[in-house]
Amino acid sequence: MNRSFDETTLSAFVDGQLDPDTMKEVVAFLEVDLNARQYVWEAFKAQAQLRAALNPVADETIPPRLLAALEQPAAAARPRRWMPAFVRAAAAVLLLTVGVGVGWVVQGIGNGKGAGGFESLPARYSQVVDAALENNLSGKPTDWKAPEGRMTVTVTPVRTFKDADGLFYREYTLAVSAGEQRSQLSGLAYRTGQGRWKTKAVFF
Amino acid sequence: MTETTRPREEALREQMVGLLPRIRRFARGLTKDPDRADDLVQEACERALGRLHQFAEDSRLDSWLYRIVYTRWIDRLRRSKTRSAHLALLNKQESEEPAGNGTAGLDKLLDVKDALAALPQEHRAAVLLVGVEGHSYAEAAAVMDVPVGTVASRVARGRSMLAEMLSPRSGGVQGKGYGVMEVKK
Repeated sequence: MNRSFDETTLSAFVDGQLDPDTMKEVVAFLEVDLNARQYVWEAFKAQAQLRAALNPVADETIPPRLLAALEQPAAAARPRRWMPAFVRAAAAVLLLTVGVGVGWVVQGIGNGKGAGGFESLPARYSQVVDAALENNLSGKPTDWKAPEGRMTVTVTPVRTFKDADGLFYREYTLAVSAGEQRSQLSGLAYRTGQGRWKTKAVFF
Repeated sequence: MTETTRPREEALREQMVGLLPRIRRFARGLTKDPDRADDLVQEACERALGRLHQFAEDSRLDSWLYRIVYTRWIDRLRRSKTRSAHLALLNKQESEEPAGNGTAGLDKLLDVKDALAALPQEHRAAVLLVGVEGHSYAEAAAVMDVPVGTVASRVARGRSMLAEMLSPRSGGVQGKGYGVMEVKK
C-alpha cells in the first residue's frame, strides 16, 4: 500500500510527537526517500541552531529587578500605572506643548498658584528636553525640578533612529511627578538642527 | 492574603523564581531585544502574582506562566501595530517589534536569531515552545489556546521557513520541492 507523509508528519517525527507505529513507518520511509531525509536533517539542524542560540539565556544571572518583582506581596506587585487624571492631563499638555510649540499652559499642578509662578517654564522646559535628546545616551535621564513647585520632570531618551532622509529621531519617556503622584508618557521627536528637537507624536 | 493562603502563595512564588531561566529564554526568543524580553517577563510575573488566586491547584505553573508571557507579548504586538500607524515615517526595522512575514531577508540573514525574528509571530511562538522549551504539541496548544493540529502545522511551517533562511544556498527544505511523498509499503 502507498503511505503518504506530509511536512507536518515529518515535523512531528522530529519532535517525537508520533505514535510508535507511525514512527516506525516514517523511519522506514526515510531510508528510501532522499528528500524526506533532507527535510528531517534540515529540521533537526535548524532546531539545534535555535537551541544553541537561546539556551545560554537560561544560564544567565537573573536580573535583580525580576527577582524583586517576585518578592513583592501579590497585592502590591503591580504599582498603579496612572495617577489622577489631572497629573496625566498635565503630562499630556507638557508633551503637546513641545509638539505644537505653544506656550506653557499647565496651571495648578506645581505650587497651586496658577500659571503666574511658571512664567519662565516654557523656555526652561524646552531646554531640558532639547538637552536630554541632544546630549544624553539612550537610557540616561535628565531631571528638571520646578523651582517653586513640587513638580519634577524627567526626560529619558530611549532609542535613536535615522529615517530615509537622514533625519535623526529619538524616542523618549517623559515622567512627571508631583509629590507622590507620578505619570509617564512616551514621545517621538526629530532633530530640527542647532540642538533643537520637535516632538512628532506622543503615546500614552 | 489570608494566613491560610500565604504559604501557598509563597510556595508558588518560589517556584516562579525557579522558572525564571526558562521563561526568560522563551521571552528572548519571542522578542530579540534582551531588555524588552525582561520587560515582558517582569510584566508577566507581576500579572501572575496579582492573579495567583486564579491559578488552579491541578494546573502546571510553568504552562500558566508561559501562557501569560505569550498573551502579554501578543497584546504588546497589537499595541505596537497601532503605534506603527503613527510611526510610518520611520524605517521598518525601527518598529517596536519585528513582525516577521516569513520571507524577509532570505538572502542576507546572518544568524538564527535574525531568522527567528523574521518568522510570523504565531509560528515563532510555536517553534520556540516545542523546539526550545520542550513542550509537547498538546502543552503548546494550551499555552497558545489553539488546537493541537494548529500547533503541529505552525511548528512544521515555522521550522521549514527557519531552515530555509538558515540554509539559503541549499534552498532549505522548501528548496527541495518537498510536499507530500509516496512510499510503497
